[in-house]
Parts: sequence; C-alpha cells; structure tokens
Amino acid sequence: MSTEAAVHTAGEHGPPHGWRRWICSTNHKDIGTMYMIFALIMLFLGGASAMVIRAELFMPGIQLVNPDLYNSLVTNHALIMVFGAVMPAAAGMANWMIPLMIGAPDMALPRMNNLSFWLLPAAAVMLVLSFIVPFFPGGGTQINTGWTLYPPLSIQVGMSMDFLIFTVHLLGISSILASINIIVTILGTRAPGMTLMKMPIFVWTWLMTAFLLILIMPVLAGAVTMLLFDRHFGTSFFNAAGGGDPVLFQHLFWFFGHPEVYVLLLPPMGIVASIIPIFARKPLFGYHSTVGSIIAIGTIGMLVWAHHQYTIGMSLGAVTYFMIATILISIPVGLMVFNFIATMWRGSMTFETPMLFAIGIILMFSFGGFTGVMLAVVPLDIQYHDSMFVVAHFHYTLITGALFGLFAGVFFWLPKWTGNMYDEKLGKLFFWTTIIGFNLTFFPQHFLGLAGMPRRIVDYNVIFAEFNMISSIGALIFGLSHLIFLYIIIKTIRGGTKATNKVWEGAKGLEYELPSPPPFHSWTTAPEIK
Amino acid sequence: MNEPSGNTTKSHKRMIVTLAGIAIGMFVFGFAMVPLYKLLCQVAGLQSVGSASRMTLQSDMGNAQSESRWVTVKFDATISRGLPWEFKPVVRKIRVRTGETNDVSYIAKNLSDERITGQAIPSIVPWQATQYFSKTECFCLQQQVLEPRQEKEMKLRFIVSPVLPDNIESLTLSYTFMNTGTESVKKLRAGMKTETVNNYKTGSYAPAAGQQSPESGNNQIFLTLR
Repeated sequence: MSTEAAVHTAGEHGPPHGWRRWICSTNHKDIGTMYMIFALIMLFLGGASAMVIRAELFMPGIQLVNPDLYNSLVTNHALIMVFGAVMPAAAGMANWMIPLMIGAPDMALPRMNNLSFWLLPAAAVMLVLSFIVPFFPGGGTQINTGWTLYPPLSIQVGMSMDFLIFTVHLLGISSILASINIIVTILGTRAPGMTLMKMPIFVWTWLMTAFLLILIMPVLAGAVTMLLFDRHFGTSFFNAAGGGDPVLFQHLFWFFGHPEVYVLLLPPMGIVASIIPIFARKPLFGYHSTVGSIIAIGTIGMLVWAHHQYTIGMSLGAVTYFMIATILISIPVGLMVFNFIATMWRGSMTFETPMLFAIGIILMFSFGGFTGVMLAVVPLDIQYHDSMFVVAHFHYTLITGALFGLFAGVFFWLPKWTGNMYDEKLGKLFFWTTIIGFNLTFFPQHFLGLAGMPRRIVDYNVIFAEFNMISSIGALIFGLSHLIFLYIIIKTIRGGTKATNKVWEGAKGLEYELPSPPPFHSWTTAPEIK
Repeated sequence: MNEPSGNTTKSHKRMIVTLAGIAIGMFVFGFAMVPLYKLLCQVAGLQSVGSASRMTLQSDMGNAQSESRWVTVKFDATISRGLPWEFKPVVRKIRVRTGETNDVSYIAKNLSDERITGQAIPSIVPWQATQYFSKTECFCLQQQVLEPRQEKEMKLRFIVSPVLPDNIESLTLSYTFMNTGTESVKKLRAGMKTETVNNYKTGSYAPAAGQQSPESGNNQIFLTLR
C-alpha cells in the first residue's frame, strides 16, 4: 500500500528546507507555528492602534487624531484583535497540540490546513488596506462604524468598507475550513482507546468552538454580503427607504457576535483546564461536569444574542427571555470556575508563570463575569448601554479570558514546542507588569462608564479627565509589557535550559510522552492509551 | 493500525460533506432571515422599530368600555440626507381625545429643480404607543412625487386608541422623508468625506432637518447628472 510506505518513511526525514517548508507546509506543527507568529504580529498591530486610542484619550479635547480616524482605529483595533490575534493564536495552539494530545499523526486534512492558514495573511493585507485606503485621494471615508458595522452608517462609508467586507469573507472561509479540519481530526483520527470522555479538556473546548464557528461564521458572511449588495447593487436589505430593516443587520451580526465571544473564550479556558491540574498536582476536579459546562456554554451562547440590543425596542417578552437566558450562562461558567478552584483545593501547588496566569484568569475573568451579569439585566443595561462600563466589562472578560489564557498557553507549551525552558524570572516579571498595567487601564473605565462617559467618542467631558489619565498610563505599561513577552519568546527559541519530555513535574498526557521538541512527524504509530 | 484505511477515509469524507453542508446551510439561513425575521416578529409579537411602519388598527380600537381621555400628540419632521426638500408639520402639537378621528397636515416643498419621489417613514415615540396609534389616511402610504419647486400639503388622519396605556400622556409622531433613488445615497457618500469632519469642527455633527449646506449642492449636481 502506498500510504503505508509513506507513513513508513515519514519518521526518517526531517523538515523540508527553505521557504517551501513554510509556504507548502502540510505539517501541523509548522502550520501551528505560523498561525502563532501571525497572531503575534497582529497582536502588536492591534496593540499599537489601542495605544493611539489611549494616547488620544489621555486628555480631554482632540489632540492626535480626528474623530473619523479615531473611530476607524477603534474598528481596526477590535477586528485585528478578534480575528487577527486571538482566533489565529487559538487555532495555532489547536494545530500544535490537538494531534499530540489525541495521538494522531497530523491534522486529518493537512492540505486544507495549509489553505486555511494562508488565507489569513491575505485577509490581513485586505484589513490593513481598508485602514490605509482613505488616506489616499479618492479613498473615501474611514470605517467609523466600530467593529459591529451597523448600517446605515456602514452603507455610507467609502470603499474601505468593501475591503473590510472581503476581509470578513476571507476570514470566514479560513475559520470554517480550519473548524472542519479540527472536527474531523478530533472525531476521526483519535488513537485507539482515546474515547471522547478521555480527551483532554483543551480538545473538548476546541471541538465545541469549531462547531460554533461553522454555525456562526456563514451568518456573518451572509450579513456582510447583504451589506455589500445594499452598497453597490441597489438592494434594500437594511435600507429603510427601500423597505429594509437596519435592525435585521444587528440581529444577524449578534447572532454571530455573541457565540463569537465563546469562540474566543473556550480554547483559552481549555488551556487553563490543562494547566491547573499539573501545577496543583491533582487530576482535574469534575471532568464530566466541565465537559458538560463547555457544551452548555456553547449551546446557550447561541440563543442569547439580542442582549446586545436591548435598546432597539423589543417587546417586554423578548427582552425578558434574553435577560434570563443570558444570566443562565453564568451557571455553566460558574461551574467551570468552581471546578478549577476545587482542583487547586489541597493540591501541592507551585506558582510558575502559566499557573500565575491561570489563577489571575480565575480572579479577573470572574470579575468580568459579574459585570456581565449586571449588563444582562435589562434596566441596568439600558443605563450602561454604549458606555465605558461596557468597554471595561468586555476587556475584563476578553483580555483575561482569551488573551491571558493564550499567554498562559504560550508559557505552558513553549518548552514543549522549542525544547527550551523559558526564563522563569522574566516570565514572572511579564506576568506582574502586564497584570498591573491591565488593571490600571481597565478598572477606572468602570467608574467612567458609571459616571456616564460614552464609548467610541474621541472627546470627553473634563469631569472624566483623571480616570482617563490613569487609564492611559496603565495602557502604556500594559502595552510596553508585551515587549518583555516578545523578548522571552525570542530568547526561548534561541536557547535555554533543555526541557525534559515531561517539562513540568506533574505533567500527564500523551503530549508529554513525546520528546521536547517533538519530532517533525509524531505518533506515526498510534500510542497505547492506558 | 494508523494509516487511513478505506473505511476511515470514507467516514472522513462523510463528515467533511456534512460539516460543509452545515456551513452552507447557515449562509442560506442568514438570507432566509430577511423574510423570516419579519414573519417571526409578527407571529411572536416581538415589536421592533422597523415594524412601526406597519401599524394596524387595534382590534379593540374604540372599545366602548374604555373611557375617552385627552392626550397630547406632537409632530416631528426629518429629512433624510440626500433629499433636497423642506418638510414640516402645519401644527407642532395638538391635544386630542382618544377614540376620535383627527385631521392634520404636513407641508413639503421641493427645493431643487428636478422632479423627485420621496417616501415618508413614520415612527412613534414612545414605541410602546405604536400599536395604539392608527393612521386611517396618510401620505406615508404612498410615494410622494414633487415637481421642481412644488409645494404640497400632505394629509394625515389618525385615531389614538382609547386603550392607550394610562402612563402615556403624550406621544410624538415622527416622519423621516427618504429619497427613494438609491443613486443619491451613492452621491452623498462621495460628499460625506469632508463634510463629517467639517460639521464636527463647526460643532454641528448631526445635520439639522432640511439642512441646506454643502449637501444639497451635491445633490443638485447629482440630479443633473441623472
């Protein structure tokens, strides 16, 4: 059999040399690495736009950027961070770790894997173009809508919106292909004996995430396609003058947008679930209920989208339903967090950087969850709608839940990926600077929001000056701390103490039976599952 | 054990086809929402701003058991960007008795030298009052055509239901006149680039109703082009 021969020789040759190794790669480790390098670049790009936003908000008045450019930066910051940084980083970790964890030789569809990665740089170029096109003559207006792209404003802005629409199409195709690949890998290529209920939680979170992506990305693609038609082909999907309904776009957008936050959150939660048992030296408490809560979060998450739109004038029955359903989500999320805490209970814990991040996530993400319950309550939300309180809330959930989870994953798995231990001192330095910077940035924004400062506005009343100044100083610390992160990664790749197979003292799992770094082709013969 | 046997390849293919089918299905679902959304809102009674234009006579309108009372109705007029018209109510505010028929009118004037067709979109504030406000005759039911420089009185006949909730003592009927030509929106887009920034500088970010400034100039150019 030809396939047999191919597998037989697979372990013997190393990676191909030169640029072909990366451009034509079908290796899950190489593609995973590329995903993460891409995400890191986008993280700095998105961070840079956030720095400009905070610099502008340092003082009342308009100093650096005009209102349109400001709103364009807000739009780009969100899109780059969501689609460029967090999702690709999580996908990169899925690529690297899922085959290692379930004992598969590679992803099930390696060529499609290559395609789903290489669509991303193309999409990123389009996204950057959408930002710079308005600076050229005849380039039209900036995308001043925010990432939600609500019509009628999004129908009126210039051609940069068209670039953005095609960016979303490309990103959508990339995510859907990656998701199909991940589902087929998880369901179809597990080593014999690796039953679904033996899979690591990280694999479970990605299974749910991939299903969510397949269900929601096409809806967003459809919505922006309608937007494109409204802009250029005279249709009136969202144009009230022609009998359309702009609120329909909001429904379609948030039908995508709300599950999207679980897409961002679940994989990092899976990383936390892998970290805590190892550093507490105890098996995960309540494996079954954690799996159940992942499924519950994904399912209920699909049915609560309109809590982003309480102010559009829905009937009392509708808002009541969305309020109750939204608050219900806190039950599975709470269950997961309690499982994490119970895992640590009476464990012999050590506090290396990944564990510090995991504990920080539990504390700060829960805090973000509480403000989320506040915002789910209709009368409160109508008060807080579009205020800085909302900004503080979703940064507390997404930066801690998603970004810090990914950071934890990087520190946790970097020794496995490179074979070198990272510098623990620098890791801890990064943890503390980033945590302090983050809280200094976003905690005062709660007060700003409660005091009535609206979001997405370039200027503000002088009564908000002090908290904004604190927030901007915090943002600078937070932003600069990422240079430490970059330095740690480069330093670890270039060398360091050699990591053992197990890397961490309490490590358990298939991935720790392989050497660090794992060979180019791993699990060419399926492992024994005990 | 590990190399893909015929069976696993087949089961992979089935999985891929199913998953791709779900993805395509969800794309179609997005488009299917266009008609389904309206239907869903009607069936489930989920009021939304969009359904304000589809006001219907309440079945219990004029119910003899409900007492008639006085309410204030205010009238508001807005011109959407891209329509070089002047548009205002003849009276800004009237006191009416619930359950009785009232006649009011709006005046619209075409400021351009072109024939333009417009469509008025009504909405009621507070939105909770929408279903208790019934228009038996309204210029918003058809598209309105104005010849160059023509001025026209537009009639409106309405009844406020006697079962209007007691906490609503005053309601505002707001009309936005839209230019039905989508071309004008395109023209406007080109003109908006500088305008938004300029308006911000002059302190008038939101354009006032029937605004004359550079915008109407742009429309003139556009209309001649068409």
